[in-house]
Amino acid sequence: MEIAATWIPEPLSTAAGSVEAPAPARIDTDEALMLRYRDGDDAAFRSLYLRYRAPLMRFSRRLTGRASEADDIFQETWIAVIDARARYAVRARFITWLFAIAHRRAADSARRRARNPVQHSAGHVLIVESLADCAEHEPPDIALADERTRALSAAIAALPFAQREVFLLRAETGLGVREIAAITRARPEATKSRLRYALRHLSKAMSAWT
Amino acid sequence: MDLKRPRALALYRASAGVLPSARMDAFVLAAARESSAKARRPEWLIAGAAVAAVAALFLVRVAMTPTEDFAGGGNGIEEGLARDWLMTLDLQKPTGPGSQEGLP
Repeated sequence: MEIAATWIPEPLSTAAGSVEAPAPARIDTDEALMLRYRDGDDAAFRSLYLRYRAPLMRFSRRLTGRASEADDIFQETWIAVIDARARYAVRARFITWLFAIAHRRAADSARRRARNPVQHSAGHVLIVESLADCAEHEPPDIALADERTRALSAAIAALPFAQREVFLLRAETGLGVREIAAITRARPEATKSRLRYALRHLSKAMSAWT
Repeated sequence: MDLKRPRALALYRASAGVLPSARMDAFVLAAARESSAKARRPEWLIAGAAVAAVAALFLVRVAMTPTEDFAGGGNGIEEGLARDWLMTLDLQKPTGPGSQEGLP
């Protein structure tokens, strides 16, 4: 089994301000960290959380287009990881497992939204608005208020859900088609097509900016 | 593949920056700590041992239960009275189908 590539932890902002993550003596794989957390090492979970909090939040936010919905998915995903701590065993890459949980939560959320379209209409507009909200958490130089970023965000939001999800998984995790297919429980051929369509659509939408 | 396509990924990665709120960070990390602490608490060990002890007692009790049918005997005067009454029912013994023998 291929083990996840190691990521450099990002600084964790807290109510008291920005706190730099302690420099690890050695860089563990995701799976090793999860096993350590299973055995009671809270610091291992913190390291895992630092690695994936940003990609998972971006994935949730841009997939749903709603800050509150994304927060729910993000929170439920991590709670599911925590709840599974005692029975965790390395059966797949941690990142695949993590995003598979998020995918299921997002799919449930999308189904609820489809059943009640009145309350959840105008998702495409909302994703841009929510991304503008995200700018509050970012340094000004990379704020999503940037026109090009807004255009890209709108183009992503305009993608069908399945294509948007595949594109976001690719962009946020760097996983291959087979792993993305495993996460979304789709056939690899279908996943490849969705990714191709998504990239084609986004390239077309962003042609004026490239 | 269209050469421009990877640009979408590059643009996306260049613009990515959304982070969870500090409150969310605190909530998740606290939940993780709470889960670990819960697993380490001695009361969980004590409760587990108590459940195991009750289960063991139950199994021993089941294993010691006699499996033969109730045979009677040694149950005092009530048993004797009941046996006498039961024997009165055996007095009427028809000898065959349609027999009127023994009937009043």
